[in-house]
Amino acid sequence: MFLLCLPIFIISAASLIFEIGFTRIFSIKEWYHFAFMMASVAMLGFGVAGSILSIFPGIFKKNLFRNLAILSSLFSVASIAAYLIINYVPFDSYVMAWDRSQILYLFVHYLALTLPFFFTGLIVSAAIASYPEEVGKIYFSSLTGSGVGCLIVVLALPLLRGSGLFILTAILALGAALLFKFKIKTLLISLPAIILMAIYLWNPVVFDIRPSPYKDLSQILRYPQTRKLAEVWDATSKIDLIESSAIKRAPGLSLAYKKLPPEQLGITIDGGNLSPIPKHPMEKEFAESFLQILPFKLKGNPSVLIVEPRGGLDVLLARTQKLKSLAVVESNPLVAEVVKDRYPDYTKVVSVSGVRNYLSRKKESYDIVHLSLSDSFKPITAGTYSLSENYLYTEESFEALFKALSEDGILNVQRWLQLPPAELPRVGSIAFKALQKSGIAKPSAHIVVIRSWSVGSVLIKKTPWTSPDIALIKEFCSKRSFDLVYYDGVKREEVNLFSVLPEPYYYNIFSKIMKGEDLKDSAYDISSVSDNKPFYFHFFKWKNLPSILKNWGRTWQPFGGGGYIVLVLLLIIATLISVIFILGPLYFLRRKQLNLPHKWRFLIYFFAIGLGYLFIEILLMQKFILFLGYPIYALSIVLFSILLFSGLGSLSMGGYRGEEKRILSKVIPILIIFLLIYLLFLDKFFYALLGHGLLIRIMFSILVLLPLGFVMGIPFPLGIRVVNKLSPELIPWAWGVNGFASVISSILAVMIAISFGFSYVLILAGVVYLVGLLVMLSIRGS
Amino acid sequence: MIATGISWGMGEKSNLAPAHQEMVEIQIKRRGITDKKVLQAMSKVPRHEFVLPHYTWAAYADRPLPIGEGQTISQPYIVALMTGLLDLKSGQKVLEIGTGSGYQAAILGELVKDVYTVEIIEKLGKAARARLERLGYKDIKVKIADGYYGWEEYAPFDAIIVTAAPDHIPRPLINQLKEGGRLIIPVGPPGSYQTLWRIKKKGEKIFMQNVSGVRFVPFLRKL
Repeated sequence: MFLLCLPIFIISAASLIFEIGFTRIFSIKEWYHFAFMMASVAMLGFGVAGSILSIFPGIFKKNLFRNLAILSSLFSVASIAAYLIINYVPFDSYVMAWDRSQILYLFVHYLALTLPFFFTGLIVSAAIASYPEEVGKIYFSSLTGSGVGCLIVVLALPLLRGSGLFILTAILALGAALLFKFKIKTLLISLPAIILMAIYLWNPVVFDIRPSPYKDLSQILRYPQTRKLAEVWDATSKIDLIESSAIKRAPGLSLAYKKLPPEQLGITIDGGNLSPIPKHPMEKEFAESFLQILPFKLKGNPSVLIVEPRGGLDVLLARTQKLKSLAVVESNPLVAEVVKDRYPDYTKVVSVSGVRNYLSRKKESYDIVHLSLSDSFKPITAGTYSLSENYLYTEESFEALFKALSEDGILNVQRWLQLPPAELPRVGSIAFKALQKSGIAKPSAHIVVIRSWSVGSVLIKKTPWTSPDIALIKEFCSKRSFDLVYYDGVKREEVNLFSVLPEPYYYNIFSKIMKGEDLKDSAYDISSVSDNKPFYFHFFKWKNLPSILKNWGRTWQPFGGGGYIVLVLLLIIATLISVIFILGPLYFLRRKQLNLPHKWRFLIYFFAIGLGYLFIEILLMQKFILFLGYPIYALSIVLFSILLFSGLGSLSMGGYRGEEKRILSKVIPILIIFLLIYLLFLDKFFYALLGHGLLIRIMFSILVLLPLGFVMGIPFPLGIRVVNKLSPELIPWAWGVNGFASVISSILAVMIAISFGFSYVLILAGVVYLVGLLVMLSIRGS
Repeated sequence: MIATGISWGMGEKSNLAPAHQEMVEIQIKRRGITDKKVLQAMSKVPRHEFVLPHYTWAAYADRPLPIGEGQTISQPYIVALMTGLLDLKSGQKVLEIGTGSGYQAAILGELVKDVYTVEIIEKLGKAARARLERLGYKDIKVKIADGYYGWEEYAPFDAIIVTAAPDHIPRPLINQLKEGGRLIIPVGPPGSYQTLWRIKKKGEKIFMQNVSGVRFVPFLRKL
């Protein structure tokens, strides 16, 4: 049994390395849309394999170990081939709305990504089908292998970078194949993978990631006299340091500045969001021309906290002023590492940490807290980031920042301007709500908004703005040709004077926000967002749909400018593919079983627990980003814990034969109680422990996930045992329906979270588990 | 239907004339651009010569197209809109920043004699120069350089058009504008402009006006 379980452990680890590795590759190569696709692709591969094995349970039984060795060898080839296909098949998301060849390329990508999961699914299912009495051990090996795979990614990425990770998956799969059956034939099937590994060793450049030509890094590297000074990786990001005379970034610079901006280097994170690194200390005249210098004019000799300055433009701007103290918080350790070599005393001021984590640890107060504009301009309709969680721009985050201000301190938040207004008014909405929550009776008296032609600032003061403050702000704006947008009592004729919009759109919208008026009429969703729905970049309203469809493919954006619609399309496509490849074969080859007793109750049960399991898993991966700081840490730790403890839960039920329904009637209510506890206390738990170091937070995360993961592993195997007793022929359908539910729920969970918030996903997970239990209990017999 | 909506079919070059006409009538005229000179220029310049060979069939469609090197040729309407906003008179001198395929320069070449265009990507600049010469736009001067600095040698210009959006207005471009000159600059990535800004220079004063669609703001304020 050890010789069966060990290679299953290894191949399952390889699968998870493949899955998580590709979420990183897609973030570097393309955008978040694709990374998001991986969870459903994995579920689809497993689901199809389960469906096929359920229909033909004996297909690999004869010469099992030889067959498993062949399947592992095929995984080895498929994983490395998938990496090359994704890199070399020229799928271009920008033209897919109208160039039909892109659909073929997309299909090839989808297929290439699905195959390794399909082979893993076949291996695990075939092993279970051949040794049903050892299902607990096999299932446990698979789940723990997957869990360990999550951790390997985090450890291996800095060393192996993108391409090396897929060579590792191929080597692991080859190792598993040889453990299953040490034969020359096995090696022969793996020959393409072995040849590709040899090519990798001979010339690794062939395996370099080929990023989209539209990403910042690809663009800047085409400029003359441009060179890459460094490329560094860790588990969370890839940083490139670029030298080019063409890098000239100065968001917020006044048109009144009449000289050339000083020389800069640039850094990109995952090939995007080019951020400048000033080469030399900054001249005061240049610094004085920026929008973000206003707080320094209002507060003399301040203590300052700068949040996420990336390349450090805002740090150098601050340095031109007389300061009592300066603290910098940079969440990305690699950015801090690259930037620190550029500034001799950088390490004295910088803390490598998320700002919320930093504020939980340090109990200091600041006269100025500045949130840097460290990402590139994004057209709203692109929806590039609309699916990604952001815990910096939420009510709870602003409350913490507000609390960190000194008695009359200023929080300055700078964002890009779009038309119709989107990012800046959303900051206004968040600030308004956060001030209300902080007990401020009249938030509008604490908020001032100014703008240039492309960038705006929301300034939030701990005490109400005074007349001298407003007079100084007016003078500041007038000298630098910046426009006033809002202060308490602003008149329409005071705004929109320099960079003239057809209407004073920003004044209009901020006047509404500051009165607490309804924002239903706004073009985009600019309402406040909280930790329960931390999607700052999601501005989509369903009323935007006609105009998005009308302009589909007419704008130069990923997926033709579809944004949120992509998510809906993904759901539809994933559902169709699952129906065709998971339920289709069952319908055509196992239709007779649908006449068996209890059929619908069983199918509802497995559908419900499939839906519930993935709802919880996806939700926790999103929620733990706040606590662990990075999506990849959240993904790895949540998957590791849930899979490992589910495996243990499943293993622990081996002895309770004949008591399945009784156990389920206890376990599922316990699971629902756990969900209720999470609903009420998880955020509070996060806030209380956010100030601890990463290792301690990881340990706490694992502990918190232990009980839930354990009970989540029980309903499926116990359900299978009940079916096995009453209608064993229905087992293929149970597998298939559960796989189908897993595919669609991985996407549905994100859609519900974006539209209604995390708490709804959690409540819904509880409801579907309850439905599953009630249906199971209504089945008579056993 | 040939040029608008979703064009799935491959088209022969000889069949593109109706699509070209449709582009001007439906995509440009119906959206409110009535300047005859601009419309004539848009009718005359063969856009299909400026796109990648495998996208010839889509040359007159209502969308931007890739031209290689991660760059695009703008949607026909945007080209017409930006050209109209320059308010060019014959005999005036115009500078374009971001040559790309050379299409915008060719349109400008139909309106004025002195067209100067700067492209930072060498491969694109060389290809555009050869293409413009082949199509008879021999007077258009193409320079391969960083457009941030404009083209000092031929300054001042009556109008400057910028096709790639910077996060601040490059000062050299303002300096190279003539008295009363106009500068058109977009916000947002090429091919997906959010909005356009029109900058006018009068003495030491600069006027910035946002242009949403074809609507003009009736008042200007002093900068």
